[in-house]
Amino acid sequence: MLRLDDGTELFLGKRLAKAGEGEIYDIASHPQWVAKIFHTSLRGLDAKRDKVKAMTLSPPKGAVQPNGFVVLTWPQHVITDGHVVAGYVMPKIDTARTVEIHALTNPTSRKSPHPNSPQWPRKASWKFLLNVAGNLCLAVETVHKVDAVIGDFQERNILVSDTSRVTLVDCDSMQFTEQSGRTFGCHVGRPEFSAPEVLRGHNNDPRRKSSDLFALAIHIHLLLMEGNHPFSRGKWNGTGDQPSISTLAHGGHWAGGPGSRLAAHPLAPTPAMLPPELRTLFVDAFTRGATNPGWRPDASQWRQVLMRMDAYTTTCSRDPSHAYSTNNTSCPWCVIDSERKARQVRNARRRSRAGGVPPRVASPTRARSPQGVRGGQPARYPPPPPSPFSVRGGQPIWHPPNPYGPNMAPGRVRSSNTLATVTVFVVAIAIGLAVVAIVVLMMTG
Amino acid sequence: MFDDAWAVPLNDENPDARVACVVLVDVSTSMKGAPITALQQGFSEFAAFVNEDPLVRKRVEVAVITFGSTAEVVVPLQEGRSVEPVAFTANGTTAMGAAINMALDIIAQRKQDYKDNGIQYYRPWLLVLTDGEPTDSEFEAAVQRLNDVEAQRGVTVFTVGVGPGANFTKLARLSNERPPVPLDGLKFHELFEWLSTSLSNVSNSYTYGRNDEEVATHADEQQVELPPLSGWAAV
Repeated sequence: MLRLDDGTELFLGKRLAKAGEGEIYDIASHPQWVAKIFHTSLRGLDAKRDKVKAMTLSPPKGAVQPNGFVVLTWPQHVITDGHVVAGYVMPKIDTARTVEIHALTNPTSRKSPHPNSPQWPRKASWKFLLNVAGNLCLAVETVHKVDAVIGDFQERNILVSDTSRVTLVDCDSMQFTEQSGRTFGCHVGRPEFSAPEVLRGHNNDPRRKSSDLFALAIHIHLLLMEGNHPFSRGKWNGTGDQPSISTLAHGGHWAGGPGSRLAAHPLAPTPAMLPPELRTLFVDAFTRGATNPGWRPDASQWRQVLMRMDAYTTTCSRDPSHAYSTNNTSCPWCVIDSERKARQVRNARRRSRAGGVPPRVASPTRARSPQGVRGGQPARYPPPPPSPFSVRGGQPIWHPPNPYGPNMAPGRVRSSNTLATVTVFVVAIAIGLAVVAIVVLMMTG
Repeated sequence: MFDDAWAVPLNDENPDARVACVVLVDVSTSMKGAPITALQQGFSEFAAFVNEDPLVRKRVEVAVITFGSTAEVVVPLQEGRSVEPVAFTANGTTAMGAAINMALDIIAQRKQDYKDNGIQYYRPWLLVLTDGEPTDSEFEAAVQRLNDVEAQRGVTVFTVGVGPGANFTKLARLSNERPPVPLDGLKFHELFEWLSTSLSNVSNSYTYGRNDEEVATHADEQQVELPPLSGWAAV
């Protein structure tokens, strides 16, 4: 018989989900909660029981807001079966109007949600995303009020509602230290959302709140920079191939950052389009904070700046769906749209130069030409049918040439890139001189 | 050198890493009737899944090439969110070699597109379904090329034999890493369900990179759990 920790009997309702660690059920007598019942075969089940019990004893203030909005699905009561903890109850969230945060950061996901998914992301503007970022900070602040670290702070554990409010789920995976000082660790995490010190440490090392703040900055970057990860998409100006995300993160090389060898990608916004106050916070998080966690802004610092931004946001005169910060001399989203169109024109020209439409059928009896299976006689094959797949929201693939030229960018952006290049050169020369000096010293010494 | 008939132009607005999955389907005469019906049904369920799953719909790109007397792209490579069911028509011999070459061309070009657009990628998947044996003269060269790409860890190859007529000896040559798996009866539904879950797990991982070497490094560090084959494989 299942009971709550206060002794009341509990009747499970419908099973809502089956997850790696247990199953989630409705609770007939308490519609505001759901129950998570652990698999009895779960590895480390005893520690998990102790952990959720400890978590129910010290919930952070504000995990559920006075109006009932759930910020954290924090364990509220343990469920016992006889003398053992079988699971716990947590507040139920309304998933009908929420999306995982990646469905909001990614512009394609926003513009074309599945018919069965919430449609409101279509209308989410940059202003809305600023609000989401602010509310994400509030959720992180809430966790950090107690001795807890989110740990596995990744895109599937963050839900966003149609009113821009944010819920963190999977709270029982967080690192939690109970009052006696015993720490229940978090041993999982996704590398692309992990701070450099976590990636370079051991899986079982205790984590710090400052590591969450690195991930927080990544999520804010994804929200404000059209889903572009700071250490992924860019133009690599260093030697060799662009290094991996974790190497770039450790070196403080974020797209378009000061002194970074990764310049912003032409199809992604540059940090120059951000309001200066926000840019400074990113520099503290990613450049100074790469190896000095103390530099990373905490959630309340981020939130204070983000909440002020609404007043400094304007709307594009050409495309009312474009909202941007007033420090830009022209709309940064139009600049990216122009670049995209210019690339499409270039690609279309390249295709037409390559000889028009090749066949979609390859005859096996024909010998392969050195160019590949599509040598031979394309004219014999019917042209392909028009693609039924509207990948660009129904827009034609060909666009008129960009009247501003393919490389048009706000002066601000260019000067910042030039400055970065100059900085890199100066640093490189300085390092070169230092090496020469050391060699000379060693030879003379 | 590439066109919309083989692949829808890469959606450069979507910055997420991609996993390309090219499905090669035998539509030779022997597939007529129940097999092709079951195949078509399985694929339409797969199309619905890749449309709907929030990560798969933007991270997985799907192409389908049929091979009968000719190899033909029936679903150009495109994001999961736009994949639609297709009608398969069984006819002719088994141009598997031509289909493999086509798939490798599509994959190679797409990797270049990813690089040109600053988009990272997971190791592409190649799934081959056949109930017979290759009949085209291209097969030997195509297998050699496929083995080379697999050896460079540029593609993950799965091969499935359907019915008693499948030549498992020849099918085994397509991959040096995974033996061919016999399909239990006509369990295409279960096979595509397995493929859906597998791609969902892959797209929910950090096993991507900017080139084949980096992808291989990350795939070694972080194993992606694939569901068991027991739902559709004959023992």
